[in-house]
Amino acid sequence: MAKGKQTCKILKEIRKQIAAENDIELVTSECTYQGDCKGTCPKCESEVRYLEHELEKRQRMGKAAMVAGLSVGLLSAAPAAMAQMPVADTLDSSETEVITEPLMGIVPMEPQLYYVELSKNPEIKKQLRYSMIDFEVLGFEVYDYAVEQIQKEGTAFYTPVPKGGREKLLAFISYNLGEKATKLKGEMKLSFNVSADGVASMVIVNKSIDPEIDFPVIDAMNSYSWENGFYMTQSGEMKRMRMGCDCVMTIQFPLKPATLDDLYIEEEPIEGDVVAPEPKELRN
Amino acid sequence: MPETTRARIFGISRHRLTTDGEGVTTLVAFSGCPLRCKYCINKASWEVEKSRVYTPEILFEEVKIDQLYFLATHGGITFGGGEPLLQVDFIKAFRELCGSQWQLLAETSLNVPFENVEALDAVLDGYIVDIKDMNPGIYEAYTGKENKTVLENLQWLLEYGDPKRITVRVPHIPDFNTDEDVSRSMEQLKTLGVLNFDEFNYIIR
Repeated sequence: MAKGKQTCKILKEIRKQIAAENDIELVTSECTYQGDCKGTCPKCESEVRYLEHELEKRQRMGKAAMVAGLSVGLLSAAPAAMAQMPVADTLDSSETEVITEPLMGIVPMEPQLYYVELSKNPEIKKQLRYSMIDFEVLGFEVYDYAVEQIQKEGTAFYTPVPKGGREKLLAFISYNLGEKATKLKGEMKLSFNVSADGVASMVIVNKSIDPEIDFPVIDAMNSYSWENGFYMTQSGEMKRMRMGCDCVMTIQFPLKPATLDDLYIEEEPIEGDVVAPEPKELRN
Repeated sequence: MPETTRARIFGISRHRLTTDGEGVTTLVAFSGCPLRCKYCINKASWEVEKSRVYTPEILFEEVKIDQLYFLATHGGITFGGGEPLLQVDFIKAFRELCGSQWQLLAETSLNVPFENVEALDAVLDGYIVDIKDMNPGIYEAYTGKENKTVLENLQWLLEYGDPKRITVRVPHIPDFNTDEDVSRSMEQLKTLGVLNFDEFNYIIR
Protein backbone atom coordinates (compact mmCIF):
# COMPACT_ATOMS: atom_id res chain seq x y z
CA MET A 1 0.00 0.00 0.00
CA ALA A 2 1.30 3.45 -0.90
CA LYS A 3 2.50 5.53 2.01
CA GLY A 4 -0.18 8.19 1.52
CA LYS A 5 -2.99 5.65 1.59
CA GLN A 6 -1.55 4.05 4.70
CA THR A 7 -1.34 7.45 6.41
CA CYS A 8 -4.91 8.22 5.35
CA LYS A 9 -6.12 4.94 6.80
CA ILE A 10 -4.45 5.55 10.16
CA LEU A 11 -5.66 9.15 10.39
CA LYS A 12 -9.18 7.98 9.62
CA GLU A 13 -8.96 5.44 12.45
CA ILE A 14 -7.91 8.24 14.81
CA ARG A 15 -10.92 10.31 13.74
CA LYS A 16 -13.21 7.34 14.27
CA GLN A 17 -11.80 6.79 17.77
CA ILE A 18 -12.30 10.45 18.71
CA ALA A 19 -15.86 10.36 17.38
CA ALA A 20 -16.71 7.11 19.16
CA GLU A 21 -15.25 8.22 22.48
CA ASN A 22 -17.21 11.48 22.37
CA ASP A 23 -20.50 10.08 21.01
CA ILE A 24 -20.16 12.03 17.79
CA GLU A 25 -21.82 10.60 14.75
CA LEU A 26 -19.19 10.39 12.05
CA VAL A 27 -20.14 8.73 8.81
CA THR A 28 -17.04 7.83 6.82
CA SER A 29 -17.05 6.20 3.45
CA GLU A 30 -14.42 4.08 1.77
CA CYS A 31 -12.11 6.30 -0.25
CA THR A 32 -12.11 5.28 -3.89
CA TYR A 33 -9.50 7.78 -5.04
CA GLN A 34 -6.95 5.99 -7.20
CA GLY A 35 -4.37 8.73 -7.70
CA ASP A 36 -1.42 9.84 -5.63
CA CYS A 37 -2.78 10.18 -2.08
CA LYS A 38 -0.93 12.61 0.20
CA GLY A 39 -2.46 11.11 3.33
CA THR A 40 -5.16 13.73 3.55
CA CYS A 41 -7.58 15.51 1.22
CA PRO A 42 -10.34 18.13 1.52
CA LYS A 43 -12.81 15.43 2.53
CA CYS A 44 -10.55 14.11 5.32
CA GLU A 45 -9.83 17.69 6.43
CA SER A 46 -13.52 18.54 6.57
CA GLU A 47 -14.07 15.54 8.86
CA VAL A 48 -11.43 16.93 11.23
CA ARG A 49 -13.08 20.36 11.17
CA TYR A 50 -16.45 18.72 11.82
CA LEU A 51 -15.03 16.85 14.83
CA GLU A 52 -13.50 20.05 16.19
CA HIS A 53 -16.82 21.80 15.80
CA GLU A 54 -18.73 19.00 17.53
CA LEU A 55 -16.21 18.83 20.39
CA GLU A 56 -16.46 22.58 20.84
CA LYS A 57 -20.24 22.31 20.99
CA ARG A 58 -20.00 19.62 23.65
CA GLN A 59 -17.58 21.73 25.67
CA ARG A 60 -19.95 24.67 25.54
CA MET A 61 -22.60 22.34 26.95
CA GLY A 62 -20.28 21.51 29.84
CA LYS A 63 -19.19 18.09 28.57
CA ALA A 64 -15.53 17.11 28.62
CA ALA A 65 -13.84 16.45 25.29
CA MET A 66 -12.09 13.09 25.40
CA VAL A 67 -9.14 13.37 23.06
CA ALA A 68 -5.82 13.41 24.93
CA GLY A 69 -3.84 10.25 24.35
CA LEU A 70 -6.82 8.43 22.91
CA SER A 71 -5.05 6.95 19.92
CA VAL A 72 -1.56 6.37 21.29
CA GLY A 73 -2.02 2.59 21.04
CA LEU A 74 -3.15 2.87 17.46
CA LEU A 75 0.06 4.55 16.43
CA SER A 76 2.34 2.17 18.25
CA ALA A 77 0.54 -0.66 16.44
CA ALA A 78 1.12 1.00 13.06
CA PRO A 79 3.22 -1.18 10.79
CA ALA A 80 6.90 -0.78 11.47
CA ALA A 81 7.34 -0.26 7.76
CA MET A 82 5.69 3.14 8.11
CA ALA A 83 8.54 4.41 10.17
CA GLN A 84 11.11 3.03 7.78
CA MET A 85 9.55 4.39 4.63
CA PRO A 86 11.62 7.12 2.98
CA VAL A 87 9.85 10.44 3.01
CA ALA A 88 11.85 12.28 0.43
CA ASP A 89 15.07 11.47 -1.29
CA THR A 90 17.52 14.28 -1.27
CA LEU A 91 20.59 13.96 -3.34
CA ASP A 92 24.11 14.90 -2.76
CA SER A 93 25.51 17.37 -5.24
CA SER A 94 28.58 15.29 -5.90
CA GLU A 95 28.64 12.22 -8.09
CA THR A 96 27.70 9.99 -5.17
CA GLU A 97 23.99 9.54 -4.80
CA VAL A 98 23.05 9.00 -1.21
CA ILE A 99 19.89 8.44 0.71
CA THR A 100 19.65 8.00 4.42
CA GLU A 101 17.50 5.46 6.13
CA PRO A 102 15.23 6.43 7.76
CA LEU A 103 15.16 9.73 5.95
CA MET A 104 14.62 12.99 7.73
CA GLY A 105 14.28 14.85 4.45
CA ILE A 106 11.08 16.70 3.81
CA VAL A 107 8.86 17.36 0.86
CA PRO A 108 9.29 20.54 -1.16
CA MET A 109 7.45 23.59 0.08
CA GLU A 110 3.92 23.65 -1.34
CA PRO A 111 2.28 26.91 -2.36
CA GLN A 112 1.20 28.64 0.84
CA LEU A 113 -2.19 29.96 1.85
CA TYR A 114 -2.53 33.42 3.32
CA TYR A 115 -5.50 34.50 5.38
CA VAL A 116 -6.80 38.03 4.94
CA GLU A 117 -9.17 39.31 7.62
CA LEU A 118 -11.28 41.92 5.87
CA SER A 119 -12.10 44.01 8.96
CA LYS A 120 -8.38 44.68 9.29
CA ASN A 121 -7.82 45.31 5.60
CA PRO A 122 -10.17 48.11 4.47
CA GLU A 123 -8.29 48.61 1.20
CA ILE A 124 -8.72 45.00 0.19
CA LYS A 125 -12.32 45.07 1.41
CA LYS A 126 -13.00 47.88 -1.06
CA GLN A 127 -11.80 45.63 -3.86
CA LEU A 128 -14.07 42.75 -2.90
CA ARG A 129 -17.22 42.19 -4.93
CA TYR A 130 -19.94 39.79 -3.91
CA SER A 131 -21.08 37.09 -6.22
CA MET A 132 -24.22 36.36 -4.17
CA ILE A 133 -26.92 38.33 -2.42
CA ASP A 134 -27.34 37.79 1.36
CA PHE A 135 -23.78 36.62 1.59
CA GLU A 136 -20.94 38.27 3.39
CA VAL A 137 -17.27 37.39 3.54
CA LEU A 138 -15.48 37.99 6.84
CA GLY A 139 -12.09 36.98 5.61
CA PHE A 140 -10.54 34.86 2.93
CA GLU A 141 -7.50 32.84 2.13
CA VAL A 142 -5.59 32.80 -1.10
CA TYR A 143 -2.45 31.11 -2.28
CA ASP A 144 0.68 33.18 -2.46
CA TYR A 145 1.07 32.79 -6.20
CA ALA A 146 -2.45 34.22 -6.60
CA VAL A 147 -1.56 37.18 -4.40
CA GLU A 148 1.42 37.91 -6.63
CA GLN A 149 -0.75 37.60 -9.72
CA ILE A 150 -3.44 39.86 -8.33
CA GLN A 151 -0.97 42.46 -7.16
CA LYS A 152 0.47 42.47 -10.66
CA GLU A 153 -2.72 42.68 -12.66
CA GLY A 154 -5.82 42.55 -10.49
CA THR A 155 -8.37 45.24 -9.82
CA ALA A 156 -11.24 43.49 -7.99
CA PHE A 157 -12.00 40.18 -6.29
CA TYR A 158 -15.19 38.23 -6.63
CA THR A 159 -16.11 35.75 -3.90
CA PRO A 160 -16.43 32.01 -4.52
CA VAL A 161 -19.87 30.85 -5.59
CA PRO A 162 -21.77 27.61 -5.10
CA LYS A 163 -21.47 25.43 -8.19
CA GLY A 164 -24.14 26.50 -10.65
CA GLY A 165 -24.87 29.65 -8.60
CA ARG A 166 -26.98 30.52 -5.61
CA GLU A 167 -30.22 29.20 -7.14
CA LYS A 168 -28.71 25.73 -7.56
CA LEU A 169 -27.53 25.68 -3.95
CA LEU A 170 -30.98 26.67 -2.73
CA ALA A 171 -32.55 24.04 -4.99
CA PHE A 172 -30.20 21.45 -3.50
CA ILE A 173 -31.17 22.47 0.03
CA SER A 174 -34.85 22.47 -0.90
CA TYR A 175 -34.58 19.03 -2.52
CA ASN A 176 -32.91 17.66 0.62
CA LEU A 177 -35.47 19.18 2.98
CA GLY A 178 -38.45 18.06 0.92
CA GLU A 179 -41.87 19.54 1.47
CA LYS A 180 -40.86 21.34 4.64
CA ALA A 181 -38.67 23.75 2.66
CA THR A 182 -41.69 25.12 0.89
CA LYS A 183 -43.82 25.56 4.01
CA LEU A 184 -41.51 27.32 6.49
CA LYS A 185 -41.48 31.10 6.56
CA GLY A 186 -38.70 33.38 7.74
CA GLU A 187 -34.94 33.52 7.51
CA MET A 188 -32.17 31.16 8.54
CA LYS A 189 -28.63 32.46 9.04
CA LEU A 190 -25.53 30.35 8.61
CA SER A 191 -21.85 30.91 8.92
CA PHE A 192 -19.38 28.59 7.27
CA ASN A 193 -15.99 28.26 5.70
CA VAL A 194 -15.30 27.50 2.08
CA SER A 195 -11.84 26.08 1.54
CA ALA A 196 -9.69 27.01 -1.40
CA ASP A 197 -10.50 23.54 -2.71
CA GLY A 198 -14.19 24.44 -2.89
CA VAL A 199 -15.41 22.47 0.12
CA ALA A 200 -17.74 24.04 2.68
CA SER A 201 -17.18 23.10 6.32
CA MET A 202 -17.67 24.42 9.85
CA VAL A 203 -21.29 25.20 9.02
CA ILE A 204 -22.90 26.82 12.06
CA VAL A 205 -26.53 27.83 12.34
CA ASN A 206 -26.50 31.37 13.74
CA LYS A 207 -30.25 31.81 13.49
CA SER A 208 -32.51 28.80 13.28
CA ILE A 209 -35.93 28.75 11.72
CA ASP A 210 -36.84 25.23 12.86
CA PRO A 211 -34.43 23.00 14.84
CA GLU A 212 -35.56 20.00 12.80
CA ILE A 213 -34.01 21.36 9.63
CA ASP A 214 -30.74 22.59 11.14
CA PHE A 215 -28.83 19.38 10.55
CA PRO A 216 -30.28 18.58 7.12
CA VAL A 217 -29.25 22.08 5.99
CA ILE A 218 -25.76 21.65 7.50
CA ASP A 219 -25.43 18.31 5.69
CA ALA A 220 -26.56 19.86 2.43
CA MET A 221 -24.07 22.73 2.80
CA ASN A 222 -21.28 20.31 3.65
CA SER A 223 -21.84 18.23 0.56
CA TYR A 224 -22.15 21.07 -1.95
CA SER A 225 -19.20 22.07 -4.11
CA TRP A 226 -18.13 25.65 -4.61
CA GLU A 227 -16.48 27.31 -7.57
CA ASN A 228 -13.36 29.36 -7.03
CA GLY A 229 -13.49 33.13 -6.79
CA PHE A 230 -12.52 35.45 -9.61
CA TYR A 231 -10.50 38.56 -10.03
CA MET A 232 -10.63 41.12 -12.75
CA THR A 233 -7.49 42.14 -14.58
CA GLN A 234 -6.81 45.74 -15.56
CA SER A 235 -7.90 44.92 -19.10
CA GLY A 236 -11.28 43.75 -17.78
CA GLU A 237 -10.59 40.02 -18.20
CA MET A 238 -12.02 37.73 -15.51
CA LYS A 239 -9.66 35.11 -14.13
CA ARG A 240 -10.38 32.43 -11.61
CA MET A 241 -8.34 32.12 -8.45
CA ARG A 242 -8.21 29.57 -5.70
CA MET A 243 -9.70 31.36 -2.74
CA GLY A 244 -11.32 30.12 0.43
CA CYS A 245 -13.36 32.29 2.74
CA ASP A 246 -15.26 32.61 5.99
CA CYS A 247 -18.81 33.54 5.10
CA VAL A 248 -22.19 34.33 6.56
CA MET A 249 -25.32 33.72 4.53
CA THR A 250 -29.04 34.17 4.93
CA ILE A 251 -31.58 31.76 3.45
CA GLN A 252 -35.08 33.10 2.97
CA PHE A 253 -37.87 30.58 3.42
CA PRO A 254 -40.08 29.35 1.87
CA LEU A 255 -37.83 27.87 -0.81
CA LYS A 256 -39.07 26.89 -4.23
CA PRO A 257 -39.86 23.17 -4.50
CA ALA A 258 -37.05 21.31 -6.29
CA THR A 259 -36.83 18.08 -8.24
CA LEU A 260 -33.75 16.15 -9.34
CA ASP A 261 -33.89 17.91 -12.71
CA ASP A 262 -33.50 21.25 -10.94
CA LEU A 263 -30.15 20.11 -9.54
CA TYR A 264 -28.59 19.44 -12.94
CA ILE A 265 -25.65 21.72 -13.65
CA GLU A 266 -24.25 22.15 -17.10
CA GLU A 267 -20.49 21.97 -16.84
CA GLU A 268 -18.71 24.82 -18.55
CA PRO A 269 -15.11 24.60 -19.63
CA ILE A 270 -12.87 26.63 -17.38
CA GLU A 271 -10.63 29.10 -19.10
CA GLY A 272 -8.06 31.50 -17.82
CA ASP A 273 -7.42 29.67 -14.56
CA VAL A 274 -4.54 30.83 -12.45
CA VAL A 275 -2.62 27.62 -12.17
CA ALA A 276 -0.27 26.92 -9.30
CA PRO A 277 3.31 26.53 -10.38
CA GLU A 278 4.82 23.14 -9.68
CA PRO A 279 6.58 23.13 -6.28
CA LYS A 280 10.26 23.62 -6.86
CA GLU A 281 12.39 20.61 -6.17
CA LEU A 282 14.72 21.25 -3.31
CA ARG A 283 17.49 19.26 -4.90
CA ASN A 284 20.97 20.38 -5.48
CA MET B 1 6.01 46.42 21.76
CA PRO B 2 9.04 44.24 21.03
CA GLU B 3 9.42 43.27 17.40
CA THR B 4 7.99 39.83 16.70
CA THR B 5 10.61 37.16 16.29
CA ARG B 6 10.85 35.67 12.84
CA ALA B 7 12.54 32.65 11.36
CA ARG B 8 13.20 31.29 7.93
CA ILE B 9 11.52 27.95 7.32
CA PHE B 10 12.15 25.95 4.17
CA GLY B 11 9.71 23.12 4.64
CA ILE B 12 6.75 21.86 6.62
CA SER B 13 5.80 18.21 6.40
CA ARG B 14 2.53 17.08 7.99
CA HIS B 15 1.28 13.71 9.17
CA ARG B 16 4.55 12.00 9.89
CA LEU B 17 3.66 8.86 11.79
CA THR B 18 6.30 7.76 14.29
CA THR B 19 9.01 8.94 11.86
CA ASP B 20 10.48 11.55 14.15
CA GLY B 21 8.87 11.35 17.52
CA GLU B 22 5.87 9.71 19.11
CA GLY B 23 2.46 9.99 17.48
CA VAL B 24 1.45 12.18 14.59
CA THR B 25 4.01 14.90 14.09
CA THR B 26 4.60 17.83 11.79
CA LEU B 27 8.20 18.48 10.84
CA VAL B 28 9.12 22.15 10.65
CA ALA B 29 12.48 22.67 8.98
CA PHE B 30 14.41 25.84 9.75
CA SER B 31 16.97 27.36 7.44
CA GLY B 32 20.48 27.79 8.72
CA CYS B 33 22.93 25.17 9.89
CA PRO B 34 26.42 25.45 11.37
CA LEU B 35 27.46 22.16 9.75
CA ARG B 36 28.27 21.31 6.16
CA CYS B 37 27.77 17.55 6.11
CA LYS B 38 28.98 15.76 3.04
CA TYR B 39 25.73 13.81 2.61
CA CYS B 40 23.36 16.44 3.99
CA ILE B 41 19.82 15.45 3.05
CA ASN B 42 18.41 18.95 3.40
CA LYS B 43 20.92 21.17 1.66
CA ALA B 44 18.08 23.58 1.02
CA SER B 45 18.59 24.54 4.67
CA TRP B 46 21.85 26.20 3.67
CA GLU B 47 20.16 28.53 1.19
CA VAL B 48 18.10 31.43 2.43
CA GLU B 49 16.27 31.97 -0.88
CA LYS B 50 14.60 28.59 -0.64
CA SER B 51 12.78 29.52 2.55
CA ARG B 52 9.85 31.58 3.77
CA VAL B 53 9.81 34.01 6.67
CA TYR B 54 7.46 33.00 9.46
CA THR B 55 6.44 34.49 12.76
CA PRO B 56 5.53 32.01 15.51
CA GLU B 57 1.93 33.16 15.15
CA ILE B 58 1.78 32.40 11.44
CA LEU B 59 3.42 29.04 11.94
CA PHE B 60 1.01 28.19 14.75
CA GLU B 61 -1.98 29.13 12.59
CA GLU B 62 -0.66 26.89 9.85
CA VAL B 63 0.13 23.80 11.89
CA LYS B 64 -2.74 23.87 14.37
CA ILE B 65 -5.03 22.24 11.83
CA ASP B 66 -3.59 18.95 13.08
CA GLN B 67 -4.13 19.70 16.75
CA LEU B 68 -6.69 16.91 17.18
CA TYR B 69 -4.22 14.36 15.86
CA PHE B 70 -1.44 15.75 18.06
CA LEU B 71 -3.56 15.54 21.19
CA ALA B 72 -4.94 12.10 20.42
CA THR B 73 -1.53 10.55 19.76
CA HIS B 74 0.85 12.52 22.01
CA GLY B 75 2.30 14.03 18.90
CA GLY B 76 3.21 17.58 18.03
CA ILE B 77 5.94 19.46 16.27
CA THR B 78 9.43 18.26 15.50
CA PHE B 79 11.69 21.18 14.75
CA GLY B 80 14.43 20.20 12.34
CA GLY B 81 16.34 21.83 9.59
CA GLY B 82 18.89 23.10 9.47
CA GLU B 83 19.60 23.55 13.12
CA PRO B 84 16.51 24.30 15.24
CA LEU B 85 18.45 25.17 18.39
CA LEU B 86 19.59 28.35 16.67
CA GLN B 87 15.96 29.56 16.91
CA VAL B 88 15.61 30.05 20.65
CA ASP B 89 13.20 33.01 20.72
CA PHE B 90 11.04 31.59 17.98
CA ILE B 91 10.57 28.20 19.65
CA LYS B 92 9.93 29.80 23.04
CA ALA B 93 7.26 32.04 21.53
CA PHE B 94 5.77 29.07 19.71
CA ARG B 95 5.45 27.14 22.97
CA GLU B 96 3.56 30.06 24.48
CA LEU B 97 1.10 29.79 21.63
CA CYS B 98 0.62 26.04 21.47
CA GLY B 99 0.48 25.39 25.19
CA SER B 100 1.85 22.44 27.09
CA GLN B 101 -0.09 19.61 25.50
CA TRP B 102 1.77 19.49 22.21
CA GLN B 103 5.02 17.57 22.21
CA LEU B 104 7.84 19.76 20.94
CA LEU B 105 10.97 17.93 19.82
CA ALA B 106 14.20 19.16 18.30
CA GLU B 107 16.12 17.18 15.74
CA THR B 108 19.51 18.71 16.41
CA SER B 109 23.24 18.35 15.97
CA LEU B 110 23.73 20.05 19.39
CA ASN B 111 26.57 21.93 17.73
CA VAL B 112 25.27 25.22 19.09
CA PRO B 113 26.22 27.52 21.98
CA PHE B 114 25.40 26.06 25.41
CA GLU B 115 23.21 29.09 26.19
CA ASN B 116 20.81 28.01 23.44
CA VAL B 117 20.51 24.49 24.82
CA GLU B 118 19.97 25.78 28.33
CA ALA B 119 17.39 28.35 27.21
CA LEU B 120 15.28 25.81 25.36
CA ASP B 121 15.56 22.90 27.76
CA ALA B 122 12.44 23.78 29.71
CA VAL B 123 10.54 24.40 26.48
CA LEU B 124 11.30 21.16 24.63
CA ASP B 125 9.91 17.72 25.46
CA GLY B 126 12.66 15.78 23.78
CA TYR B 127 15.64 15.66 21.49
CA ILE B 128 16.70 13.60 18.52
CA VAL B 129 20.43 14.16 18.47
CA ASP B 130 22.31 13.46 15.26
CA ILE B 131 25.68 12.62 16.74
CA LYS B 132 27.39 11.62 13.43
CA ASP B 133 30.42 9.95 15.04
CA MET B 134 32.04 10.33 18.46
CA ASN B 135 35.50 10.30 16.94
CA PRO B 136 36.52 13.98 16.62
CA GLY B 137 38.52 13.33 13.45
CA ILE B 138 35.67 11.55 11.68
CA TYR B 139 33.18 14.18 12.85
CA GLU B 140 35.27 17.04 11.55
CA ALA B 141 36.02 15.33 8.26
CA TYR B 142 32.32 14.71 7.68
CA THR B 143 30.79 17.97 8.99
CA GLY B 144 33.61 20.48 8.70
CA LYS B 145 33.28 21.31 12.42
CA GLU B 146 34.64 20.07 15.74
CA ASN B 147 32.39 18.03 18.03
CA LYS B 148 33.64 19.38 21.36
CA THR B 149 30.55 21.55 21.89
CA VAL B 150 28.26 18.67 20.89
CA LEU B 151 29.66 16.42 23.59
CA GLU B 152 29.55 19.13 26.26
CA ASN B 153 25.93 19.93 25.44
CA LEU B 154 24.94 16.27 25.36
CA GLN B 155 26.64 15.63 28.68
CA TRP B 156 24.78 18.55 30.25
CA LEU B 157 21.43 17.34 28.92
CA LEU B 158 22.07 13.85 30.27
CA GLU B 159 23.20 15.08 33.67
CA TYR B 160 20.61 17.76 34.28
CA GLY B 161 17.67 16.34 32.38
CA ASP B 162 15.95 13.04 31.85
CA PRO B 163 17.99 10.76 29.53
CA LYS B 164 14.73 9.16 28.43
CA ARG B 165 13.92 12.35 26.56
CA ILE B 166 16.94 11.91 24.31
CA THR B 167 17.34 9.65 21.30
CA VAL B 168 20.78 9.64 19.73
CA ARG B 169 21.02 8.83 16.04
CA VAL B 170 24.21 7.04 15.08
CA PRO B 171 24.71 6.70 11.35
CA HIS B 172 26.94 4.39 9.38
CA ILE B 173 28.48 6.92 7.00
CA PRO B 174 30.07 5.46 3.86
CA ASP B 175 33.71 6.47 3.34
CA PHE B 176 33.80 8.23 6.72
CA ASN B 177 33.25 5.65 9.46
CA THR B 178 33.30 1.88 9.80
CA ASP B 179 31.07 -0.53 11.70
CA GLU B 180 33.75 -0.59 14.40
CA ASP B 181 33.66 3.20 14.66
CA VAL B 182 29.89 3.08 15.07
CA SER B 183 30.12 0.41 17.77
CA ARG B 184 32.77 2.45 19.55
CA SER B 185 30.59 5.57 19.38
CA MET B 186 27.65 3.69 20.87
CA GLU B 187 29.75 2.27 23.69
CA GLN B 188 30.99 5.76 24.57
CA LEU B 189 27.49 7.15 24.44
CA LYS B 190 26.19 4.38 26.71
CA THR B 191 28.93 5.27 29.18
CA LEU B 192 27.72 8.87 29.11
CA GLY B 193 24.22 7.68 30.00
CA VAL B 194 22.43 7.58 26.63
CA LEU B 195 19.52 5.14 26.75
CA ASN B 196 17.86 5.45 23.36
CA PHE B 197 19.66 4.86 20.08
CA ASP B 198 18.71 4.98 16.46
CA GLU B 199 21.45 3.25 14.50
CA PHE B 200 21.00 3.51 10.76
CA ASN B 201 22.75 3.51 7.42
CA TYR B 202 23.36 6.11 4.81
CA ILE B 203 22.81 4.05 1.70
CA ILE B 204 24.71 4.78 -1.49
CA ARG B 205 22.86 3.79 -4.62
